[in-house]
Amino acid sequence: MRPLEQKISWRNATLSADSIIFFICFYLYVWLFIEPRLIYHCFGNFIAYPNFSVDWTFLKTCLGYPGGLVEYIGGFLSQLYYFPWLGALVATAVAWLMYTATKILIRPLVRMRFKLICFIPAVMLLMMHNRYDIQLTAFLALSVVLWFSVVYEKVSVRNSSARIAVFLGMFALLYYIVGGTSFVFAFLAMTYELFVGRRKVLSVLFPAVAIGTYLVGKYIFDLQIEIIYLRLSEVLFERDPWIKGIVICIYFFFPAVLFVLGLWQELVSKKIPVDTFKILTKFKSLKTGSLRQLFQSDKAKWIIETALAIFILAAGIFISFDATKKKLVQVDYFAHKRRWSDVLTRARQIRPESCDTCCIHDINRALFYTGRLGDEMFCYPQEFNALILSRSEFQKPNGRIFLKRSRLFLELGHVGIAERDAFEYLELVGSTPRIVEQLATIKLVKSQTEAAKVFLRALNKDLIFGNRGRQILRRLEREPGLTGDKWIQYIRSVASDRESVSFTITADDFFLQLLNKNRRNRLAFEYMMACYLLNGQVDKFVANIGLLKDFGYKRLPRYYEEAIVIYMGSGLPKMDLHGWQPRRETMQRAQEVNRVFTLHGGRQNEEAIRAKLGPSFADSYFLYFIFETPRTRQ
Amino acid sequence: MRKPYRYLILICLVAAVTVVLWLALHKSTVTVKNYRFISRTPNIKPDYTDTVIPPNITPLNFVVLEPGVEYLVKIHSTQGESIDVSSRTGKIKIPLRRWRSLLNTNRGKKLFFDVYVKNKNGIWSRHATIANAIAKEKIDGYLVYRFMKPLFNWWRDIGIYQRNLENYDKSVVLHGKSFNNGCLNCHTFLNNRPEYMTLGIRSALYGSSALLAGDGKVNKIGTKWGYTTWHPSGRVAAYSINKVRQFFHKTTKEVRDVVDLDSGICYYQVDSQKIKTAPALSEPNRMETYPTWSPDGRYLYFCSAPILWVDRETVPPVHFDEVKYDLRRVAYNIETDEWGQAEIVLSADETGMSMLCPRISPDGRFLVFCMCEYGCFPVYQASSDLYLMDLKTGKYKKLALNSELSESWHSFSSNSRWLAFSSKRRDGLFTRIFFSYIDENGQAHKPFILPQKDPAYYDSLLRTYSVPELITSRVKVSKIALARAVRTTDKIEPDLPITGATPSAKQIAPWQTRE
Repeated sequence: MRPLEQKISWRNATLSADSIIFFICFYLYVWLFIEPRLIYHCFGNFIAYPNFSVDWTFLKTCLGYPGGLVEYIGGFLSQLYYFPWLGALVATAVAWLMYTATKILIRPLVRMRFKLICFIPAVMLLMMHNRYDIQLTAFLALSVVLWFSVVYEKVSVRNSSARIAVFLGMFALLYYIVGGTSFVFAFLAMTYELFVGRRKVLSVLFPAVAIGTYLVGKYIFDLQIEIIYLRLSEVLFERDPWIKGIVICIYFFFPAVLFVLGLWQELVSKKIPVDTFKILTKFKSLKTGSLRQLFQSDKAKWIIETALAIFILAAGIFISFDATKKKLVQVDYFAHKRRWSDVLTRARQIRPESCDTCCIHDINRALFYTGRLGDEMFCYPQEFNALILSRSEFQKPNGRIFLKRSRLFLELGHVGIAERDAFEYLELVGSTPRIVEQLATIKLVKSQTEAAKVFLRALNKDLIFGNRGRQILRRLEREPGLTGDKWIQYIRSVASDRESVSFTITADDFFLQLLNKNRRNRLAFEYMMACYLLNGQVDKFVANIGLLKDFGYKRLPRYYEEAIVIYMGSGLPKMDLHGWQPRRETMQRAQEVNRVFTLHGGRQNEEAIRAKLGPSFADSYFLYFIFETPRTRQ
Repeated sequence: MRKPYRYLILICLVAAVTVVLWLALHKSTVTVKNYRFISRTPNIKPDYTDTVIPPNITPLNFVVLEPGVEYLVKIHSTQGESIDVSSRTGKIKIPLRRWRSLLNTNRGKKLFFDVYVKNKNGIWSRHATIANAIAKEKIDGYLVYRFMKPLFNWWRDIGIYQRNLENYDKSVVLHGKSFNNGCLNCHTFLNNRPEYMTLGIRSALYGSSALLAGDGKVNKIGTKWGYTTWHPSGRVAAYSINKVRQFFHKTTKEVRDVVDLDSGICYYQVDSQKIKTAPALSEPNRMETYPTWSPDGRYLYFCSAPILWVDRETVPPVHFDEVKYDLRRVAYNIETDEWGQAEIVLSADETGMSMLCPRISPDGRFLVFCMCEYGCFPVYQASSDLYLMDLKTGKYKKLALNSELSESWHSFSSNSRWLAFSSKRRDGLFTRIFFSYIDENGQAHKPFILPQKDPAYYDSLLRTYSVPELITSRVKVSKIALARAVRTTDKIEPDLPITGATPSAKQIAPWQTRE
């Protein structure tokens, strides 16, 4: 074992060629492939929002509880993910800090080159990024713990009492900085004292202090276990098993690895039992001849180690990368940015079964804004609840759904419901800049300027969007009613003014209230028609076909045509089509569907019917109407 | 390291520390000799002008909203040294000790703020003096309130907090996070004293219950308590049980609304741990709520409205916007546990409005209540205003402290001179706590907002303050003890009353079930 005094080469620890290559790859991968702006977009949508505010009060609040300081820094650094190159730099810096500290920590414990172990925390961080989560605060806290452990090891005090004092001081300080993560420090110090310092009393005392702190926290200060240990990651609430697993692993990784390495070194250096000795001899016998020469060659060592590091990185990427999640995040991101063509491009790359409700919702919005809802909506997966996310209130509360609903309902003109959903999000997720701006907009639409200003001043404190808040506030000073703001004026023009307090509302009332207010509310009209199509209510659909002329349609959209044909063939009373007539080929396609349907004995032979009709019918409304409307499913 | 470098580093360190200390401790002494006079008072925020303040209130820090590059405020009264506060941002933060001393030596006198503003050209101007009055009577030292974001259906972050009104200290009484993000409400104290307290709890994990703190211990009572009031003797607590439902408007400025589908009043006898009711408190076709005891304990005041719907499940029920509550009272003899007949104190037929939240001043002279257009939840009604009834004469009047927006959730200080209440006057959305001096004639003076260390604190605060309760000192029971009591399985399970209950409110009635 290396003597305690042995100096490590700082340059060797930090700037080895393989590590430089590794971290350059790491940086480029995160910057160009993961795209940190997507992770920033996930905050408050897919993952918890890392609170941060450029405000002394926020800083004081953070400094007021254990772990608050690292949460503050983690919150700040997370905000930098808005800028892709900077976000990648943050991730790389945290990974490098962990790598370097690990490398320094394992040196006194092992003679063998276990350098590869040092890359594992960085790979774990990368795996986290691959799942579009970062848990940056947790990783940052662990970095601080590791560097405290490095300092503890370097303290040249020999006396046990003095070392206890040093430990207690550092542990207390660390508990204040990183909260519960400081327990990792206690176990690292224990390992060091057990295998390097050889102070057995201390190696028992240190974990006892950690456990004692836990007991005091739980039984005297009444803290709950997740607050004591895992407040930083809130990992207990994590639904993705990968994320949960990685966070738990990283917490246990350092104490476990250092303990095993120390133990291994003990076994090697002491008298080894016969069986173990045989195994070791066998292992050592491999290092003979040409192999031995090869291993002793520095160049070869370097090549092997670098290759292994790259292999670990590649394996980590391969195993943990969630391509579907990335596409779902991209769809959400483009929808948020109102880049509708990009939404559709990306959506086409997602397997239908992987599209979640929110994704389908975004697809429908994108189809509307690109003028293709009536022509292409069944080219994409559809789900009745996705159109206006109508059933979400009966499910588990989901901030992302509340935000989407709030946005859609505001655009539709149901301002009251938009406000309610926005406040639900505010309570469940927190005051993210998106929701604060949304609430400010709602209040401006409702001419509640003073309330809007409260939200805008809160937005003003956001690191990224603070300027946006200030701009609107300045504009409000010049123009209190925002009469020149086209968006606000548009929402006011479509906003429903029919007071209603019904607990539940039918789709008819929902849309007709809006169309009664403004017959040019195209979004309300197309969504109403889409709603009837999705629900299989072709009678209601045809009853409203006359409204098409209000919106300047020159032709019948594809699915409108198919719905009319279905209605015509349904035997229901004839209705005025206001001059719209389906094309001959649409009638022929309907006849073909009818023929195949009859030939195969009806609905129970869905697979055979679909197979017979082939791909040209796969995206038709005929098949959706037959097999997929809520009524059909019942 | 060579020695010269060591000295250099040492010198740099000392210099740096000196600069930091100088910056921290140095206070520029601004003196203004020449200025031009502006005859109007300056705009300041919060509005601390022409108001009456308690002699023990924490400094009223404010922001001067006049354009300028430097500000000086001279705070003075009849006696004692004036306080000069200068600022480059307009934020005026008043030193606590000197403020206290000034207020204490000038009780019952005027307090003046002279505001000087320097413009870009270096010219000072002085505005007309802002005058406030210092009352002789102190306000109770602590305020307990509910602090949360504006809530709709879901909640995660609700806490009951206490604030020291003589400084800016704030602490948690109980937070929902300590029992799995539960909900807590209706904190009630006995005679403005912190020793005895009740608290309503709702939790998916630990059930609905009431906490009863007193004599150094906390008991969990396994029934759901609504609005609660302590008998002045501390032997009985009366509370309402409400089948309360929330619903939403579509186009109004306040989207939220609340209706009681049914309600009644019960009372809990502390010694016997029994829950009872009386015919006058649970009439068959009426809803009784918001009980409050008279300070002599001889009457229980409450609000009562007829049930206008047959279906007690539909939300909102028909005619929900026609429900108007009367103000009633019923005599009670605590020694014999006997109740009298309910009598109308003020009828909704007479006022045309709904009367809610009656609270009586501890001296027994005044009754303050909310009046709004309809319903049972004044905080969601912009029309809600505070009214005061002189119990000697039975006459009532609208208090001068009201605004165009909702005023509600009021409570008296133990000396009856201060009224704390919630108001949405600033923006129509976020409730903030205001205090008003009520003089011996029942005259309310211009209210002022709960002072904060940062005078711009409310400008961007996305949370509401509600249900302010004034108490004489800090809550005695710890948050740990309260949280443990919520989580414990040990609880008092008193039988719910069946005698005298309304037909709709028998034991099987929904509002009587333990939700």
